[in-house]
Amino acid sequence: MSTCKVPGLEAPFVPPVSQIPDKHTGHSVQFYADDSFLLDGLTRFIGTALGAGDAAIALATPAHREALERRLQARGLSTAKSIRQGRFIVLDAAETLQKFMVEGFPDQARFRELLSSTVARARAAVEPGARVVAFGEMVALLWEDGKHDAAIRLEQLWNELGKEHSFFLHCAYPIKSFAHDDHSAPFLKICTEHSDVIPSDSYSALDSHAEQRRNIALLQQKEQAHDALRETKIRLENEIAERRIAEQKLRASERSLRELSGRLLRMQDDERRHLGRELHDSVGQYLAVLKMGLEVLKAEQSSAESPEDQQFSDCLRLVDQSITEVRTMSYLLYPPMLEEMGLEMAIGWYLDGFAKRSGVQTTFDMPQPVGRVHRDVELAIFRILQESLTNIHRHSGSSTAQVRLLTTDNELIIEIHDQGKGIPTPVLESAQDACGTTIGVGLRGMTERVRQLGGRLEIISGTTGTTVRATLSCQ
Amino acid sequence: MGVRILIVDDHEVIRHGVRSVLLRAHPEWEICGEASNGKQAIEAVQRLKPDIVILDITMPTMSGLQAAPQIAKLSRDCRILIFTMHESERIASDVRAAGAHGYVQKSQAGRDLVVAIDALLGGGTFFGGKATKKPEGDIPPGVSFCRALCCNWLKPEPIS
Repeated sequence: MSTCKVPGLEAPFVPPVSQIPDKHTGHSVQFYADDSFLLDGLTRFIGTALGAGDAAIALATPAHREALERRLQARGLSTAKSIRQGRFIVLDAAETLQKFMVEGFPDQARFRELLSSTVARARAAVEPGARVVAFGEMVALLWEDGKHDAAIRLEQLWNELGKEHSFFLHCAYPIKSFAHDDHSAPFLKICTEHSDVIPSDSYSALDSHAEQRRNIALLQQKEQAHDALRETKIRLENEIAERRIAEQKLRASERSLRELSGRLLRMQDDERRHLGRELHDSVGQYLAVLKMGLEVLKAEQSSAESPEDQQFSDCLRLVDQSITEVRTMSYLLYPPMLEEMGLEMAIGWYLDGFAKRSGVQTTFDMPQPVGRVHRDVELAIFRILQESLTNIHRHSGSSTAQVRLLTTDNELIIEIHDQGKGIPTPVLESAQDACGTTIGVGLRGMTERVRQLGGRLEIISGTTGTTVRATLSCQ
Repeated sequence: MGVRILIVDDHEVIRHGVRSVLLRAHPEWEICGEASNGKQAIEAVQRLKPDIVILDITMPTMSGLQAAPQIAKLSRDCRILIFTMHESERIASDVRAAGAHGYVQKSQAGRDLVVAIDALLGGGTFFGGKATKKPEGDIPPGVSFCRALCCNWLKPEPIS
């Protein structure tokens, strides 16, 4: 039995050129890339046997059976007659296979029973001394089905049958079904189960020894290239795996960063609220009472022109200033009325104060009444309004601003529109990035706030103005 | 029958300050009760039937602006004066919408509080630091709104 080491052939082994061995016994295998290459050889193989009065068995796919019969008839052979004589047995590969496969594996007893009788039948149809040849591609079907072990086992069963009966078997596999690296070992196993190996078309079709040696050298070169490619592939796979891990780490750190920034926002909100409330509830109230007391005392002063009266007036002015400062600070820290009365009133009051402080004329439009929604959503809407108005005042140069609060079935939308010079593109972009200017920071804060609540923030900015639109779910 | 006033504020120091401002100006006025949130205010109005409620806005449990419409519904005789730290142009319309009859900023208590109460007792209103009298309302100061009504000094003001 010849051993084939494909593709790294070492021995100067040269198989018969594009021919299936013309012997009484043996087990050859052919690999083919092109159907017509297989059929040419097969027609010659079966045709020669039938022509010489030998018996032939074909275990083939419907397509190959049909093509084979057509080609044999074209060579002037009457296949029907040979079939009638019982020396040409044509069987469907898949159907026959099914008869002896048990749980995905060829059953030895069933195989032997079935094929032994088939070979015996063929043998009985010819003169003593004539050959029995068989072509089979059941193994190829198993292989293509991914049942590699079953295919090799079937080759072995054929070899066992060859010990009982005298016949020559020729197998064929399409070479394209060995395209994977993992196929090397089972491929070698298949080769070792055969007495003859016929390489695929590109090699077998060569007709000079020199050409075949050139072809072997070419195959060796290809193998080298293939090895290098395989190494590159492994390296790339490792690299991809490393990157995947790095990506996972990056995502995890992004997640924790987001959680952290969410926590920071909440902490900041809580802190501001606490401070705002504290200023309003304690210092503000004490100052108001202080002023009441001073006014009562001042009223009781008899002379209007006394130095004490002047002193009182100065004190009252200072108290007034303190009250205003404290109120402004507390309003900025935490919107008054938001918790008690909701967005509509809080926005109205805030816009009032804003117009007074900044000189920017604002309008507030709310086509439908907005009921109460979750505290966090109300606060987010309010903070976005605050941030946008601050930007309008500081950067846009617009003297007007329009605020709209819209509500749908389950969403709350705030729109802040100005007629200013627009936000420069780099600043707008930096809102998404790590670094940014003051507005950038503000925009990022807004973006983050909206993201935390699963909403969306759109900023449309041009030379004629900017629109900030935040959409939040209110469920 | 003297003027009965209910003071509602969550800060004891404010209630004390208001009490002393009022009593210095009108010793004959009676501070009939105090409350520290909107809910208590509604309950006290039912129980004490004051002529005037001085109502803070920002309070725990229930704000003054939430309590005002309920008080107005409970007693048409009771005049409601919002007394607040807040300052806003919009406050007047929000206070009116809540059914109150006027507002005074806490920081202007010395100047406005007594004037506002007088205006409200006379059936008028007090917004933006200005009192508005009823046209026919030639009512002597210190006469309660309900008495003015009884004596046909004025017609009931529709509540917006």
